[in-house]
Amino acid sequence: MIDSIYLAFLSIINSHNSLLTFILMFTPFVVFFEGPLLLFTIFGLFRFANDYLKQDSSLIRLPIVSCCITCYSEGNSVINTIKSLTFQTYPGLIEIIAVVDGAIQNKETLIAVKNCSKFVEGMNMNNRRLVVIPKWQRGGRVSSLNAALKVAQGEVFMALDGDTSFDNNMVVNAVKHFNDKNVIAVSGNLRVRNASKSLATRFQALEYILSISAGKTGLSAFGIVNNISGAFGIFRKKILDLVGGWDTGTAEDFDITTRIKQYFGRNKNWRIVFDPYVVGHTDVPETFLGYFTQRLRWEGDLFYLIGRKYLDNIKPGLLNWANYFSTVIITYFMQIILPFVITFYTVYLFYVFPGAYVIALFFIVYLFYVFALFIYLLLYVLLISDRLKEDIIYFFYIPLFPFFAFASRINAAFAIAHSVLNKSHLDSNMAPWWVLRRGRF
Amino acid sequence: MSLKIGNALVIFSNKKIDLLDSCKVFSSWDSFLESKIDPLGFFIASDFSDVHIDIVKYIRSSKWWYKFCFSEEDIGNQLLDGQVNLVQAIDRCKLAEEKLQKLTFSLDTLASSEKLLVYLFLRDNFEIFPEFKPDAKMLYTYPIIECLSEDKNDIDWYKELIRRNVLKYNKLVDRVRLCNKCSSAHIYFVDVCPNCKSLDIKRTRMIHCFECGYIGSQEEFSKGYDQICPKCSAHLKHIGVDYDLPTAQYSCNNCGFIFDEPETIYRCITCGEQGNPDRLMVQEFYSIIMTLYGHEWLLFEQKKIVFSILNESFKYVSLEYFQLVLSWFIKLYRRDNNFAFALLLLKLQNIEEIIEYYGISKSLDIYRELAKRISEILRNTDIVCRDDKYKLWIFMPATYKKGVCKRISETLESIQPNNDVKIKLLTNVIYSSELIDESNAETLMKQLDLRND
Repeated sequence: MIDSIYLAFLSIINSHNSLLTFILMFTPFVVFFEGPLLLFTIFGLFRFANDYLKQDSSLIRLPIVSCCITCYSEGNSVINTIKSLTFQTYPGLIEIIAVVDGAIQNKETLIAVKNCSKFVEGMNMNNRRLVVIPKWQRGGRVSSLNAALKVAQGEVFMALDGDTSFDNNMVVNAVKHFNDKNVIAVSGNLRVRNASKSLATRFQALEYILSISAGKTGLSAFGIVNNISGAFGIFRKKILDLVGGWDTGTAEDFDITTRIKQYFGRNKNWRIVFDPYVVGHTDVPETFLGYFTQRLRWEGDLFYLIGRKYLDNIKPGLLNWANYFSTVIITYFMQIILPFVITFYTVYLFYVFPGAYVIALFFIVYLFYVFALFIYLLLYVLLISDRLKEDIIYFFYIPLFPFFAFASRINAAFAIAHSVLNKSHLDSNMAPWWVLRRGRF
Repeated sequence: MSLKIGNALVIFSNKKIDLLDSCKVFSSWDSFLESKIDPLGFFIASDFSDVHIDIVKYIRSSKWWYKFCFSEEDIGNQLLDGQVNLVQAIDRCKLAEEKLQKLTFSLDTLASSEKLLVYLFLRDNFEIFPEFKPDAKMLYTYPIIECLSEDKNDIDWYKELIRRNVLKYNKLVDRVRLCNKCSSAHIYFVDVCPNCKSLDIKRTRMIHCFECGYIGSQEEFSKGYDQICPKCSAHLKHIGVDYDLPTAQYSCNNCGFIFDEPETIYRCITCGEQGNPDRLMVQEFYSIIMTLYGHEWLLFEQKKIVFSILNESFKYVSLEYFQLVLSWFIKLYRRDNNFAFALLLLKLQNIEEIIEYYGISKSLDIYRELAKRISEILRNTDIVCRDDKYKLWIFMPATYKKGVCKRISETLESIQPNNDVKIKLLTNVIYSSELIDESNAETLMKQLDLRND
């Protein structure tokens, strides 16, 4: 078997057959299509590192910061979130707004939040304030965010998840960006808190590093941030008031990012910034099943948004050219079309060519990926990482990571197909069904 | 014993008042004193309400301390006897005078404690409430007790009445902590360093580095907007992961000590004493009422009461039993001369005189001391008996030497008061050797009783 794969491997390297030439042309298409993006991102990493050195890192003003924590059934883990916000090094006023959705069912969470109230008061700090909003009727995450937006007094509004905790310099680093009038939102860097739990969480932690910590840093250097993550989004409150808060439906983070980006065509200098040093820590599913189930929902929701709701709005006039291309390439092609291409291509190869040949072909692709990932991670660790000791261990996971990424792509194809056929986004656990059904899309 | 029965109700007023026969109006305390009138009681008219405090204090400190004092207006002062009209005032004063007749002793020689009892006796169900006075040393005072005290600074004599069950505490009103040096309630508390007792402490946010275990104040860790451990240089980013807050949250600027809770000490405003609050005395203030025993105590014959004070020192047997033992021992002695004994008789001769001169409380003290001293002379085999004529019989078995009388007179001399009026105690003793052939217990006691020397 191994001999035949080796032979196939050699023949691919040396062949000039017309059909094989086509296949060879097609393989690099997959490989090199991601290649330019990869190079682009790597170039961005250097650019970020260069800009970071020149950056003026002082706090000029101390605006009030409102942190909205949307709580549901997190229970006691919300205490970590509130604590990590209370002990921020930011000297200005931080208003922590904890919205407990469905406070009747989620008594435990409500009690945990109320206990924090005593704790924050007990610390006797005049620059921290905890506001608790119990929403007795469940209304979903969007309604929690909008409720908090109503009472928030801050100039900067943070939409945070109840199970995400933050580094103590998070607010300081985030607020610095708002010194620039054109920065209207900051996307935070999410890291995996429970990375050491299992192999599944390790892979997800590596994925977060590659796609968020490194990937978004690279894209941000060119003023392209495809999404402000829902668990950790930081906004100029003025902009939220302008767009009228969050809209009902799933994937509200991508939704609001898109709606903010629709102003970019008219306000050419507006920017969304990704800062790898604005760090939050979140828990991810501990099993592969949990991971794939979660992604099934996310990918499906993504399709619902860009495939249905905003399909007509993806125009360069509305988004500006850079964002238009990034949306088309990253979101439409990489996230929606590519999973199908990979799935069908794999099936096609096995159908047309002998197994050994296909495996040899995949091996070439695999080698390319491992090499690329290694370079990518190395650059990240050298240029960006602020947690060297923690991040260096991921070099050991790189040889296995392509398998994980491949399975993810197949899973994404299923998710999108499911969304297209069954309108799965109407069946989310992010909000009760009677809220989702009222959405127009 | 003489009693002065007042003949007119004294009214303090500048107003024109429709006078009843038995009323006299005065415009000041001095004009009342000058008139030399003997008051039935006092009445403060509405126009004198403002100055009632002065007048009522004069009354309670004068020789008319026990007289009723009413007011026309409702004034919340314990020293007054309430709001009534003139007719009611006269009626109640007369009732009080009648009640006073029941007491068999003179009101002139009374000590503070007896005065208080009479005061309470005249006023049915009177309850003395502690009055809150922010500037008083213990925050609370008993106004009537203060007025009746000979020494205004010493009012603790009422506690003796409570110990004797003449008065009792009724309701707890408040609990006050007092300086253990000067008994002042004017104290305040300060937080100090438990190590060096310095005042200069502050609440600091402390940080505990997980990397190296170093604990220090937040300022030491702060480098710009980052937190970096000054010892191991670890960058502390996330609470609960890299670092946490230790329970100790205070530091002393004087000695650098870091601690959980500051120590609280008290300081006395009055005398400047300071120390641990545990050392403070706890004083409870109750309302006070007179017991049934207190009423009896006043109504009883004083002499009996004084004689009964000897109960505290002696254990009596009944007269019957005493004679039985005595006659048995006489027979025993006749069989065998080795069973010698002595019979001692003590007669308290001038109890009335002592009470008249020293007052009841002092008299009680005198006789209590006497009884105590005598009981110390006795042996535990001695048997004591008393009869209703203020005589004490003491049977002393196995007594040969004749020295008892001398020792008792020495004891008496040692406690004899220096004043003119002395205790008269008659001591008679008979020894078994002096026994006449035909005498029995009864005749022996008679013989001893009749012997006057």
